Amino acid sequence: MKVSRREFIRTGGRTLLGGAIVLAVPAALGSIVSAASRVSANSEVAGNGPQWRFIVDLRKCIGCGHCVRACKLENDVTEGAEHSRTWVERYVVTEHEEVLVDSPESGIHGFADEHIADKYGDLDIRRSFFVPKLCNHCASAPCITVCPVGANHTSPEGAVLIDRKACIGCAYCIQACPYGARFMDSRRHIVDKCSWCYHRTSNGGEPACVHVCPTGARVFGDITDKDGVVATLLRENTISTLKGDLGTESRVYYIDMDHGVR
Amino acid sequence: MRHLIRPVALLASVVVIIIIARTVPTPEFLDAYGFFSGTAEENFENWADEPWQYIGSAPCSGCHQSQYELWQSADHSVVECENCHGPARNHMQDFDPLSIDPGRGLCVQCHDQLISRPELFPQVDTSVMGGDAECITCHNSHSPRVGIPEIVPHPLDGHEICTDCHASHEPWETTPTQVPHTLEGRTNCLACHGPDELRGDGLPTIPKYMVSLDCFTCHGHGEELVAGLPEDHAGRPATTCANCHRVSE
Repeated sequence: MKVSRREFIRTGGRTLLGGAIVLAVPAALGSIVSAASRVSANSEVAGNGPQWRFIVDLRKCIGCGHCVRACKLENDVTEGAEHSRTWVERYVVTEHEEVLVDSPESGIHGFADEHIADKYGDLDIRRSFFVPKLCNHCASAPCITVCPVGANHTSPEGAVLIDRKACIGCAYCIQACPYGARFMDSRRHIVDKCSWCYHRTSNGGEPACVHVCPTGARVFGDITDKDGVVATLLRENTISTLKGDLGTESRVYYIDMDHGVR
Repeated sequence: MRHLIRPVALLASVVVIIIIARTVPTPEFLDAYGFFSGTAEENFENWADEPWQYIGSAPCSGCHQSQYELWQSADHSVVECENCHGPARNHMQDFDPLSIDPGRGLCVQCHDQLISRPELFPQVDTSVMGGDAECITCHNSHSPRVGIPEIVPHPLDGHEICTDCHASHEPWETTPTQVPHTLEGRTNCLACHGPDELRGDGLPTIPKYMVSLDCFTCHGHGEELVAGLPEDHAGRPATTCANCHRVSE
């Protein structure tokens, strides 16, 4: 039977289009439905092991910077303030609803040398407080998704760990992280970030920053332990996460976080 | 309207192709398929094998028993030894002394009065407190309150007569606390327990050219070169004289 080219293309095109619609629509609907009903990735317990969480109590931080220093010494972090796996920010909220943020040298020397009065002059200050930050070890981490070589792995306990052998130093993950937790290690030429001191925590210890904090502003533990510090604090306090609207499902929780914190 | 069929069909097919490409072959997380996911276990092991630098305060008690016990019993017990003295891992191997700067810097870093600090955290205006002297002149770094008389924790208005509530011998079962020393020869409670501007009123002053001397050289226990210490000063180290006795101009 002689089929003209036009006929062929027309019939063929319609078949393909029809077939694609028949296949695509249920697939799309299916993935939309499963995305909507999916429980938070954070609450899916991986096996029976411990599930780690980190809590920062903003009522207690005094901005001494000992955490920043301890992290650096514990983890052989490259010198320089730009290489900070954790850091402390100072927030100043004025009566005019202006929010000023600074973090001199990531807070490693504290803030006693950086008096607000000297730095900001005569401001009508409503509130001022410190916000320690670190990698949030997200359950839905953008850094894992964007890595072109898959150089991140989430441990069974929930810690997101960089695969130093696989990382090619493209820095895409640094752009992807909304918290600024990742940075380029100029010594190793790959990316570095907080590891929740995996060498300590996987052997029964706590991260160095938690160990040295004199006021208990940093807390680390297993959320599945109902009587543990983490579960207790989460039950008894109002909790929030940084940039919660981004859907990263952060494993770091904050107590008493002001609305101006970004 | 027939002329719209082709552009609409084109648009629809583009939309359908996008939906297919986005949902069918794209994995939820690359992590699950990851190009090098075979090295995940190895990665965890590499991270877990790093040595610890901060080893905790308990090992310090093995050799530094007296400092450890003093530290544990006082306000700085919340501050780990390594916090000020640095990580101790190497010290346990080679016993090289851990250096610590005795200057004001370390103390000021935590205790300077900053508006951003929680109000109830102990902080002082370090530009005024103690002048240029090192904080450890008066404060024992392991037990910071030792030798420092308690400051009156309530306003003085309406409480002019201290002995109305605080007596030296009558037992009080509840607060306020009993006075832990005799009241003989002490008429002015505020000379030691008052706010900074009242302290030292009515007490003998230290001549300014003697400030750097050890007070016990002349006022020492048993020595009567000038005047021995009154009995109620028993047990007080020379480092605490300046807490109450002001320096004369």
